[in-house]
Amino acid sequence: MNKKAVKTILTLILAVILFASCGKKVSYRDDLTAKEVIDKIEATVPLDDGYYSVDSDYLDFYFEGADALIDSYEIRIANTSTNINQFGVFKVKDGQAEAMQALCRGYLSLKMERWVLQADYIAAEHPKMEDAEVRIFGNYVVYTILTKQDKTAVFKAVEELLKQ
Amino acid sequence: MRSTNQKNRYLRAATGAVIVIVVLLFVCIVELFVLAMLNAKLQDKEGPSTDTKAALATSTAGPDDTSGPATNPAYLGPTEDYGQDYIDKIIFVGDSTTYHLVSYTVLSGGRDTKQVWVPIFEENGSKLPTLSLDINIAQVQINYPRTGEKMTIPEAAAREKPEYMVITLGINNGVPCLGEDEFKRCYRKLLDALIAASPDTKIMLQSIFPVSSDYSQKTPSITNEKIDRANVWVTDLALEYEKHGVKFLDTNPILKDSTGCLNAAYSNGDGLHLNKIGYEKVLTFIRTHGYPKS
Repeated sequence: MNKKAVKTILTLILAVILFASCGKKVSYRDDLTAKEVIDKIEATVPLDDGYYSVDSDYLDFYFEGADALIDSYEIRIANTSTNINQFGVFKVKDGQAEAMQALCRGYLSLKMERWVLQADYIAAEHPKMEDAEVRIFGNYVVYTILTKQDKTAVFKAVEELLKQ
Repeated sequence: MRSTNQKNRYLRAATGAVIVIVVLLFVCIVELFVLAMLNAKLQDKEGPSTDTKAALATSTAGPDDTSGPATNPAYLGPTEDYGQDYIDKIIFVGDSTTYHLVSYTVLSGGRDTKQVWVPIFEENGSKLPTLSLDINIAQVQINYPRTGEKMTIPEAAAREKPEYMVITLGINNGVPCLGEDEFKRCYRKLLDALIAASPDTKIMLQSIFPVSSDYSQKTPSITNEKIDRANVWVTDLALEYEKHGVKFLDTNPILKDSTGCLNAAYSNGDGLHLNKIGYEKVLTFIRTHGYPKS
């Protein structure tokens, strides 16, 4: 009797979890290039001196192995080197979002590690390093090194842009 | 009979002890082997250890250093005094350790000199000159001194086509963070872009200046051992690019005291940057270790 009750309860819990996660599943479009997505991001966090796009050496240097995971990418860094604003968008091949997210996390960890080694170097920018984050939006992986407010605004903008 | 039993017991004990010693020795050997392997792996990842190559580079011109003055054609040795005209033709590229050539007014034109190319940014009313040795170094913008326009260092070189250029890089990001391969890869990125932009510019790579012992204690990621190690890499790069006329200016040793740290007489007090006397010493060295006349 007890066993039967436990079984029923467990089944119910599993069913609830299953339905709950089904309800949360959001689908994202994937017809935009990484550049189109990042232009939207840049518009959300404009700077007087603007941003520049890194070249392919930057990808090879910091995201080793990314070539095999992505269709396109775009990384923008603040032109003012005393401002560490930075963000990147990777449009990944199907099923590669988690792998790319792991590469981005590795990159952010390395940046943080090196940042700590230069303790007092542009200390005012430190909170941006601490708030660095990477998120997945379907087949897009987006990372930011921004203030908390800017990060929130950027992820919201990306969500609105890509959500179907 | 009793004595035979006792003898056997001693024999057994001795045999046991020998076995234990042999096992311990085996464990030690295995441990040493594992440690050696780990050390080798670490060196592969972070460049050579300070024990090996840094010792070689205590002065970047040490007698055992194969890339030193005797064998390295890129190394700039003593020459006649090339004079102020020579200094006036040089563009200085680098980080804050280069920027203070401006603030100490040691170049012709003083604070209005057009010879220093360092990214400078205003923040809360103060100027922050900085340039990190990173893979995006050729994309970082400076304010081109002649016009005030923002452009990259290679773009400025393409515009100005300077006769001589002295590059001093590595104290930011390079020394504290990068291993040999990464350090050289980032440096090459700038050199390749500069050579493509202005192939006739005579480029001199200057060694990274030493720091005081106080500074190293406060910032353990930047020590003179690490700087010396990085300066060997700079020497290697000068040799690698010698075919493009790149030379190496070893000013680091002349700024050190007897303990191998930045001589207090040349420090502005923060243990990292030079004062006016320090920069004058460097400029004198540059004009008396001139680029070979063709």
